[in-house]
Amino acid sequence: MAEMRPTETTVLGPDTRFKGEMAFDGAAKILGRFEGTINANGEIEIGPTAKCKAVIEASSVVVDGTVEGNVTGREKVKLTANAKLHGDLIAKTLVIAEGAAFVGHCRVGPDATRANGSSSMVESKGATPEKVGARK
Amino acid sequence: MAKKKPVQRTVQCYHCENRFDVSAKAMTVSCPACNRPLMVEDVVIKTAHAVRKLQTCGRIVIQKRGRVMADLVVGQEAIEVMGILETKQAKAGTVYIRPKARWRGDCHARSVVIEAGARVTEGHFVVPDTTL
Repeated sequence: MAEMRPTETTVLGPDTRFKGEMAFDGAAKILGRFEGTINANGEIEIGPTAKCKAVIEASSVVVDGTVEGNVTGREKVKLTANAKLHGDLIAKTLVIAEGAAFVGHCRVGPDATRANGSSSMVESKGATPEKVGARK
Repeated sequence: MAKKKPVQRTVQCYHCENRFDVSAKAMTVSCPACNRPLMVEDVVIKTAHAVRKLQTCGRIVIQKRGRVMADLVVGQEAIEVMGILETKQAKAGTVYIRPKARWRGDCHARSVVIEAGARVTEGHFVVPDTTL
């Protein structure tokens, strides 16, 4: 695993639109619109102005904006009071603040991310941003 | 001398969703709209409880050593879990899942608070649920 560099954060500004796949070794902050897949070894922060239609997998995910897609946090997922998440959520530790909106399946605990021998259960089920939120 | 006005609170019937006022001290009442009996007091669970339905217009508090296994759990005001809750569906105003709590089941609530350390084994969350 790549060494984390917490001081280096990649920022996608509020006027940015991105479609595709992104991978980060460190931390990243999304403030604009994103569509696709995000993989990170560090922390991903979805800012208050962000609108993501994405499958997100990271060590730590903080959602302060709008996300439509499955989110996997190998360590921690945090939904702030401003967060809107429509999709399935898997995390070792989950913190949801009062006021956050969340529609989807949820699995939280030390075993949740380890299931199927993969860190991402949503990935193993072939989830795409279009498929999220549907009941199994 | 003027009579002291009894303290009242507004509750919502969990059968027909009618809102009405009851005395703050009331434990059970009948809904004036559907005439069905309602529990309006707060329920505190300290041990294991296996029931089909656990419903109240007030709060449901599952303490550290408490465990509830039920098909339906309704706490119109709030559900606070510090122990274990296993249900098919839980409906509440606000759901609090405290650090060492364990949750299994679907959750429909106006808002939810999950603290770090809580375990959610399975469940479909709908927050905020506009029908509540």
